[in-house]
Amino acid sequence: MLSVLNVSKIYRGEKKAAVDNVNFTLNNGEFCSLVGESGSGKSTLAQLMSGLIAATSGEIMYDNIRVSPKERRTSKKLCSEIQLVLQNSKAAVDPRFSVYDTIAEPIRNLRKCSRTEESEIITQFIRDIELDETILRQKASELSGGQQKRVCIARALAADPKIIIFDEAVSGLDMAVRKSILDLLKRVHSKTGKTFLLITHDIDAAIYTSSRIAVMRGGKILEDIYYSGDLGVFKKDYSKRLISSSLPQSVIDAYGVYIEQNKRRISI
Amino acid sequence: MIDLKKYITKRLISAALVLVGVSVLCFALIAVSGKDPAAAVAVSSGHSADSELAESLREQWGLNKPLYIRYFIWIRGIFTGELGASITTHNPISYDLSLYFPSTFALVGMGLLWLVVISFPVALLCVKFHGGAFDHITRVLTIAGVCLPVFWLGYMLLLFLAVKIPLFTVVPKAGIGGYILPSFALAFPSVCSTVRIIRASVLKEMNSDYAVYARTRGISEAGIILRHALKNALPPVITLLSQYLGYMLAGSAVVESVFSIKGIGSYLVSSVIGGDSAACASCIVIISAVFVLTNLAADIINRLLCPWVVREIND
Repeated sequence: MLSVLNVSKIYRGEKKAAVDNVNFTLNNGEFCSLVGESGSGKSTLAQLMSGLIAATSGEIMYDNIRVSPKERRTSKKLCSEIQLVLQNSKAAVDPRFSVYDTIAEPIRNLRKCSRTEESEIITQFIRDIELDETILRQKASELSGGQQKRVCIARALAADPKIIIFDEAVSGLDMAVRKSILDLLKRVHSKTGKTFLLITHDIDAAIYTSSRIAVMRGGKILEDIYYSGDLGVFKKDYSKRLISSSLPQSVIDAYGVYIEQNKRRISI
Repeated sequence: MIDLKKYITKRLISAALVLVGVSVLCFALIAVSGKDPAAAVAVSSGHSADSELAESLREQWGLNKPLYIRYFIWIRGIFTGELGASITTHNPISYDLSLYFPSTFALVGMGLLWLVVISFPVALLCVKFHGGAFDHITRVLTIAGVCLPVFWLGYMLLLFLAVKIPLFTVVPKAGIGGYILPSFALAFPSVCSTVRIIRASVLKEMNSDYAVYARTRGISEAGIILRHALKNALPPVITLLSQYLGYMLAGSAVVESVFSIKGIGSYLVSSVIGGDSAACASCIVIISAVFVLTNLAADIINRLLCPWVVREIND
């Protein structure tokens, strides 16, 4: 369980808090989404929760460990159990590294296993993320955007985390790839039972994947609901506006049919 | 691999074209300078400019032939080593070059060594302590260092390290020890700007998402620098180093004058002063060739190190 307790973050030189006195708890095994428009503070909250940046006030606790950059440098548990998948997959992989080495890095850093076990784990992950094994020898920088995103997901899984935070994991991808990645996340979540936190500005992606949705605006969490198919659970006007600004279900369904029909022709 | 061969072939062709252009320009400068080396040699040996000696030298060096034939003779001379005679030293130019080039080579080679040995550690320490006292002090010193004139630095080094504290001799000793001070003076401004470039390039990489992800894995800043950022930051640095090699060769004249070293630089200066256009053009062609070839080497190394950079440019 990852708990955010009265956390605020004010960047140096800024007057307004990017995250303003937020209380939020991520429960074990849930698929939660944090939704909000650009500048709402959700990415800052993701970075705080992964210990990349320090909170100005308040604290974030994980298994009795305080989550902070200082703690991250010393706690292997924190590094391996909370993983972050960044928005820009192309920039998130070292262009010199092969796909194999990209996925192997967290295993070598954070897990104790032999080279044979490492190879078996990587092969398994490549299958899990539905990529061909031949891709392992390619440079990560040579892959398409969708393939790179999958490699980043495999790399996060390779650390054997308890929690994975996906920061804008499907932003900037075309519709077909976007849906395939969201489907992949749903499948991996139900297979592994890990805790997933999807940070996104697309409320339809949150609705499609998550059982819990928190809506953020101006650094605060406006509402935090459990969703099971009834859009009526959203009470705040801002949430309703987000929903009404997303693509109509008919278009999403039509895309789903199109993708099914053209699966072989669409490169993902 | 085929792409690489194609790329190298293309770059070799363009390098050859640049060198042809430089050689044409140099030869044109000789032609328009109006200096007659045969007459100069004849006059310096006590004969008149239209004496038989001058005439026979003109015949011997092909100076009576049309301009384009003289160009081809000169080009052939670059490959065969028959570049004519210097009117200042009265030696064959190829002999002079073989005499002076080794000292300049040692000077520039050692300058490059200073460049690499000082720039990388200092720049990486600046990255490690980014925003700290070391970074700020280094910034001030490197900005000041870029502005220092090489001749002044050379004199100061001689004054303090050869005259006041006699660690070195004013006239350099034979051997590699004699090049320590001159090469340091030659390389220092380049070291200062290279520190800034390496620092900026590595810091840019340290802000990349892959470095952010490495931090989430608990990798130390030093580990990220050495394992990821430094190697990816190399392309601009390699290009810069290749250019500085050329600049140091071209700028060796000042240092050679200050430290009384007989090298290509001082030979070029005496050729310019003495109106020895053939020797001057030969030096310029050599310096240009080093410039072009080091740039070519840098491009190929970058292509091999970071093929994705070229792909991104092509995309």
